[in-house]
Amino acid sequence: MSSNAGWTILGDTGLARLLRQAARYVDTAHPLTIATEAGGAPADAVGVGPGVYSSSVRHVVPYFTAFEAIEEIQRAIDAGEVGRVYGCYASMRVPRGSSAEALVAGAVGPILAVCRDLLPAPVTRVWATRSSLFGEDDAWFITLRLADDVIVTIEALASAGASARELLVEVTGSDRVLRAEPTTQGIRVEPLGGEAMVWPWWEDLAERFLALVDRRAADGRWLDGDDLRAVWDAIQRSADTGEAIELSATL
Amino acid sequence: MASHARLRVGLIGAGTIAFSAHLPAIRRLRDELELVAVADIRADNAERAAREFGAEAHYTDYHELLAREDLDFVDICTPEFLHAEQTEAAAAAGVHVFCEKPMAASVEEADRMIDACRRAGVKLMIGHSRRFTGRYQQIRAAIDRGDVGEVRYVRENERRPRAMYDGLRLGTGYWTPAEGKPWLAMAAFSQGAALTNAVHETDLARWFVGRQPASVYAEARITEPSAEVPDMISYTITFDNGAVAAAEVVNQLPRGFPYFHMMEVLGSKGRIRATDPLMAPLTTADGRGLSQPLNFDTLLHVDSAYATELAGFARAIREDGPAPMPAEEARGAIELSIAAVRSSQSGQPVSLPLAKEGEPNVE
Repeated sequence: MSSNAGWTILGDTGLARLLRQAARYVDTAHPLTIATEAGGAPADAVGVGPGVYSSSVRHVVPYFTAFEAIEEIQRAIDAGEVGRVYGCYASMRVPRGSSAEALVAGAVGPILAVCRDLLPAPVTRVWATRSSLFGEDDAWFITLRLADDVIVTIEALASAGASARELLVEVTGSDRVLRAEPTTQGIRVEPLGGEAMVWPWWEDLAERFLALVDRRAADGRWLDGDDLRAVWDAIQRSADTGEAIELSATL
Repeated sequence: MASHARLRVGLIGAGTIAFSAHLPAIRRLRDELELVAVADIRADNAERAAREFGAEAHYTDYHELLAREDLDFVDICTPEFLHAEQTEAAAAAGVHVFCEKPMAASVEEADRMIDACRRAGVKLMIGHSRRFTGRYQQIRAAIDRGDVGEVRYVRENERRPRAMYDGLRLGTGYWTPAEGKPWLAMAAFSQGAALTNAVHETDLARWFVGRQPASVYAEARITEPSAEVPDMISYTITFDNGAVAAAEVVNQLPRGFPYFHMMEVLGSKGRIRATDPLMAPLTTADGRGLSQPLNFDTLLHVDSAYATELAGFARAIREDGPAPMPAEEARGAIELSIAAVRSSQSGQPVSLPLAKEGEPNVE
């Protein structure tokens, strides 16, 4: 049997189409269903993309975790090479002028999922603010305190250049600091008398993502969808009220 | 007040910042400044500073230094909880005051310093060295030229290796009132990273945004098990026009980690990024891959910043003009840093201007 037949990709999103294309080239030993949209997903489906925030999927794999540099951070944390983790600064930028909805779907949701995946200790306190830097609600600043005292600082801004998406994740610890900037891969064009332009060509993640899901299925390691949605709910409440939200959590 | 060809300086507090920055800067300015006396509660430090940097006298009581009649200004390099008392004493002696940051341990103390110097008719300047570092002066110049339009977001993430704390443990200059524990790590004397070095970020945020902060939210933690005060802080400031500034300051990174201050300013018409951390002057490759061992120390020339700020203060004295940085600006940075401390302790955002100690200020 062709193991490629093991993939079931649900949804009619651009991401779903990318994953279906990639599924032809990625083997999997077990049947896996991937849900890219809210609603209608079976209980054992693996959620990815903005739909996970409005669905009930329990197993989540953040798409940008498939970047090799992010995977390396995860490996280093798991292997204990970072030592005592102090904090994580994570920034995601989408083009200036993006709508508030596009910012949430394209930056806030993804970067939050990446951080929770890297540092899964329970969240004890959440503070968040929505700001209007250049347009309406085009910036989010989020601070999470985890049960192990790790401080996670997240920013998601509609501030990048027209063609750019910028991702930066920096984890600091007693023994090592790792900074991933996978989206800096590109070419820079500097016309005389004109503005420099950067044209990104960072790797296509679809195949790497499916391979990652396959490995996660073998390890049984998932980001908990219920936890992710609870944190997102607290973030929205904090942004609405201006107050920090305490969450009960134990390690 | 004395009048000499060179301005005569008395230095109070011969600790780490004096030996590493202020004393070398005074020596560098030997054509303009003369170090005449040093005071430190540690006699060995006072004697060593006087001997190595050519002062004619040294004391263990700074009042004896202030009793001299030949001083033009004092350079205060003691911990911040002593700054108000020592500034008031210097002002009463009719001596101009240059004081290392952070200005004071509280807004009330900062106000006392400003008031004492104003009443005595002497100048007061706080040494916020980054305002005199080329990197930040270039950023400010770009803002002033209008290169990026209205500033809407400022981020500086400051990273320090724990070598600083190794030095503390060894007692090389830092005051260690408790066995093996530096004052910087003790709750009786310090409020932690928010003032120790994140006061740089609160100052730069105000300087670059150019508006009044309206609120701040902060999370802080202790990463060094023996410390009593936070050595890591992450905060977000919202200004009265909706602009935002944020910083994540971590002081206990692995030995060998280069000093690294990620700096970015977003404006309505563009952005400024300090590119020096990315432009390593030396890259080596071996079987383990690439490394950049000279990444940052080579590039951030803070040493000259101390000479630049002292030279500016000396010029203000000679010409009887304003100090290059008004003390009220340093007070603003203190207020913001104290607000960050209160937020990290309460777990809630704190609004500004700051209420007096004991009054409610949580939003």
